Amino acid sequence: MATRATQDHVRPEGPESGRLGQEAGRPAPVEPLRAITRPVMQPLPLSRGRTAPITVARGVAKTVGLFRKILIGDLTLWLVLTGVLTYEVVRNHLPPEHALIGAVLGLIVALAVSVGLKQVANRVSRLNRSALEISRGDLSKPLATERASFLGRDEVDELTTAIGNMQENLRELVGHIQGTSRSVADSADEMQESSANVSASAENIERSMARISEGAEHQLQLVERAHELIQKIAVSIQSSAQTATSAADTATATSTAAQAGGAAAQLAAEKIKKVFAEIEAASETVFAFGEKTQEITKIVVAITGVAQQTNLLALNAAIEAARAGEYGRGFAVVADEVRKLAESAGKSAEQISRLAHEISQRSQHAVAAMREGIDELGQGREDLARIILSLDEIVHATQTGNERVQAISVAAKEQLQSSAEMVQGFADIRGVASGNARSTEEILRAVREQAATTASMAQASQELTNISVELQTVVSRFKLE
Amino acid sequence: MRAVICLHQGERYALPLPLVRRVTEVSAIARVPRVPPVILGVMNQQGRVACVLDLGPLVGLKARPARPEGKVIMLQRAKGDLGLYVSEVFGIETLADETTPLPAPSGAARSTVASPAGPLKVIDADLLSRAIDQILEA
Repeated sequence: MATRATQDHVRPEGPESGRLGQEAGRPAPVEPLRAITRPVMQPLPLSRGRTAPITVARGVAKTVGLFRKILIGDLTLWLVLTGVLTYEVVRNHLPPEHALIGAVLGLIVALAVSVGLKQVANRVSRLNRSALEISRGDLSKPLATERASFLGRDEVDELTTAIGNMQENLRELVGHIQGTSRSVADSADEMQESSANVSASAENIERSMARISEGAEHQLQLVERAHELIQKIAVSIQSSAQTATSAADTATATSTAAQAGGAAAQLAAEKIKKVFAEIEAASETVFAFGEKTQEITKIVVAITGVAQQTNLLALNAAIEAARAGEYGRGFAVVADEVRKLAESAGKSAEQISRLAHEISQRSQHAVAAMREGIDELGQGREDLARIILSLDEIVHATQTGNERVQAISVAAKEQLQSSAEMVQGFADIRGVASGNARSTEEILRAVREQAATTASMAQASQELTNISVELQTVVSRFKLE
Repeated sequence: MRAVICLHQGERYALPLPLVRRVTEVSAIARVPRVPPVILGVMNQQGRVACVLDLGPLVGLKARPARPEGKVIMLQRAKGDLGLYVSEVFGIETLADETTPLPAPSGAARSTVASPAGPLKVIDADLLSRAIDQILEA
């Protein structure tokens, strides 16, 4: 019963003893950060627990005082015992030797009691000193808890054992508290350093996320702009596809028209060949006419010469007739008529010559024009041949172009479909980019909140460091070695 | 008066018919060296050598070379065959006897006479003969 009382005294029940028991025996559960970051000036549970050794010392002091009173009353006790024995001897009418024997026995008992009490007082005194040292925080001196006695263990021994257990528990508790406070201080320092690192990292992440957010916004703008451009391109591609289809139809019509043109050109070439032949025949006729005209000119020249000679002969005949006088008058008339005929022939020949000259000039012009025309026709024939060849090439090129335009039309249709898919894809990309921008904003807000939390955690770690320092300061009052 | 009407250097002249023996074409005229320009040369005239003079200097004009389309009027002379080169000979016309003296006579042309085609310069036969003789004697 005394042991349980001592144990109860050493480990008083209550909230504080429970907290101490938890801190000394088993690991305390991790408290929330708010609980750790309470004000430093708040009294700690350990400060209240520190009153337990004082209470024990006071109890021990009271016990020592009681035993002093007992030692002071040794003589009184002997006197009382002797008086009682004397009274019993007298009342029972016993012999006086009995009273002496009783007195001696009483004295012996009183001395024994006194010696026992002195020993108890010494032990209590040592306990008192130990309690005082414990109350001063010196837990380095071990307490002698065992005593060899034939009488067995008494309450003082139990008290000594309890105080020893208390000292050992306090040593263990204080050592554990010192280690824990150092660990807490180290952990707080590490946590503070980690908080600083986390804060720096959070700031970097915040800046990076701000840049990422700006980039996401810019990306969203670019994607929207690209989406608009893609839509315009899609419209242009659609127009190109329609144009390509129209061009394919036009190319088909052109190919057909070119083929028809080629056939018509062939027919035209055949007809032009006939025209060439007719013109060449006509030119031969014109050339022959020109030659005939030159012959006429020669004949006219000859006639003119004859007329001139005739005129000259008529003139000379007239001169001779005039010289003949009356005899030559009839001859003069004839000569004059001949001269007139010659003049008439000369005038006619001159007219014929002019006509022949004019005809010759015109025929020469016609011949020259014919020759130029033939030359032109020759060139035209060559040009026509080249045109026909070109038309054949055009037909071939048109067919090739038609095939290519058809291919372009097909490709444009496929491109149109692809552009529609591309527009849809860019719309999806825009949605994703918008989602990314919103997510980035949310992440940025979360990072900022995290940064604020990290700052709070750094502050809390600083407070925890202060608390651990204070705890170390408090615990340093206890001397363990 | 009957005269042979001719054209020379743009002027129409009337040469009295008694001076003219015949009119011929201009054949090949051979130039004679060291003679005055009025003498165009000599030519074959029916197998005989005839001297050809330019009418221009004889009527106060400058001498010019002969052209193939011109004519040669062979004169009736006792001293050899002689021809006058003219540009053209129109024929024989009967002119009025009344002539009008030229205000400024030049060479053998001393007067003019009217004709249906316009006035003609009449060449004086004597003056022409003396001028030819002077040329040939020089």
